[in-house]
Amino acid sequence: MTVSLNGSIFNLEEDAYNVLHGYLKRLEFHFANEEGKQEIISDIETRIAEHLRETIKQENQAVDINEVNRIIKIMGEPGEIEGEENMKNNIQNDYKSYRRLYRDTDDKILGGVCSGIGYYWRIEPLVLRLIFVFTLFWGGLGLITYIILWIVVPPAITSSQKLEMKGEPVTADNIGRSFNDARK
Amino acid sequence: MELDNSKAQMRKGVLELCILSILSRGESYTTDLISKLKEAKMIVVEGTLYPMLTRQKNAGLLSYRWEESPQGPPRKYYALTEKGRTYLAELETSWNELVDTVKTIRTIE
Repeated sequence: MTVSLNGSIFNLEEDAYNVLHGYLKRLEFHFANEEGKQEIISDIETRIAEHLRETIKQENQAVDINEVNRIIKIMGEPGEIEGEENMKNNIQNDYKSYRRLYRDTDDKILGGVCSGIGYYWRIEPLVLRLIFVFTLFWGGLGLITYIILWIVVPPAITSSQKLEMKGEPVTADNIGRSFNDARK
Repeated sequence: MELDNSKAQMRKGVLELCILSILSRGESYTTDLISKLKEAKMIVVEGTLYPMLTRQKNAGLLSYRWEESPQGPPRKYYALTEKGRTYLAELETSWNELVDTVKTIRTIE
C-alpha cells in the first residue's frame, strides 16, 4: 500500500500502513484544537519520511511493521510529545473517539449489523437482534433499516478496523492480538 | 510521584530556552536541532520539538525559510527573530535567577 507523507510517496506493507495511519490519526486528534495543527502534522510527516528514506535500501521496497513501530517510538505518541504528565488520560481520550461503526463479520447472523452496533453502543447484540425481529411485525420498517445499514455500514475487515469497531487502541500489540484471536 | 515524570517536567520547562539558545548562534535545520537536543538528552521523543517550534514561530519568536535539498523535499531552516532575541534574554535572566534561588534554598541550614 502506498502512503503520501507531505508529498513523498512510500510503499508500506498493509499492517505497517494501518499502524502508521492510526498514529497519524492520533496526532491529528491530539492537535485538533491547535492553531498550527496543519503545520505541526506536516513537519512530523516530513520527519517520518526522512526516517523511512533511511530504512529503504532498494527502490520499491515495502516497509514492514517493525520499521514503522521503531519510527513511531522515536517520534513519540501524542502524550509523550507533550510531556508525560497527562499521558494516561490523553491516551484514553484520544482513543475513545476512535470507536467506529462497522459490521462485525466475525459474529453475524445476516450481515453483522447488530453485532457492529452492539460494539458501538456497548449493548448486547442479542437485544438489538430481538428489536429488529420485533419490528418485522410492524410493517417491515426494521427490515428496510437493516438492509440500508447492511449496504451503508462497511464491514470490519482489517485488524485495525476490528479494533476501531471495538474501540480498542490501534497499537501493534493489539493488532497482533486480534490477528491471533482471528486465527483461533 | 514518578521520577521520570518529574524529570520530564523539568526538561519541558527549559526546552524553550534551549531551542532559542541554539538558534541564537545561527539558523538551523529542524533535524540538526533535533540531533543537538537529543544528544544533550533534552528531548526523549523527536515529536516534542515540532509543536514547540510552531508555537514559538506563531508567537513571533522564530522565522523560517525553505532550502532545496539534494535528496528529498525542501528543508525548513529556523532562525531567531528580533523579538525572539529579546525573549531569550529575558528567559536567560530568569533562568539564572532561578538557578541562584534553588542553590540558595538547597544550601540553607
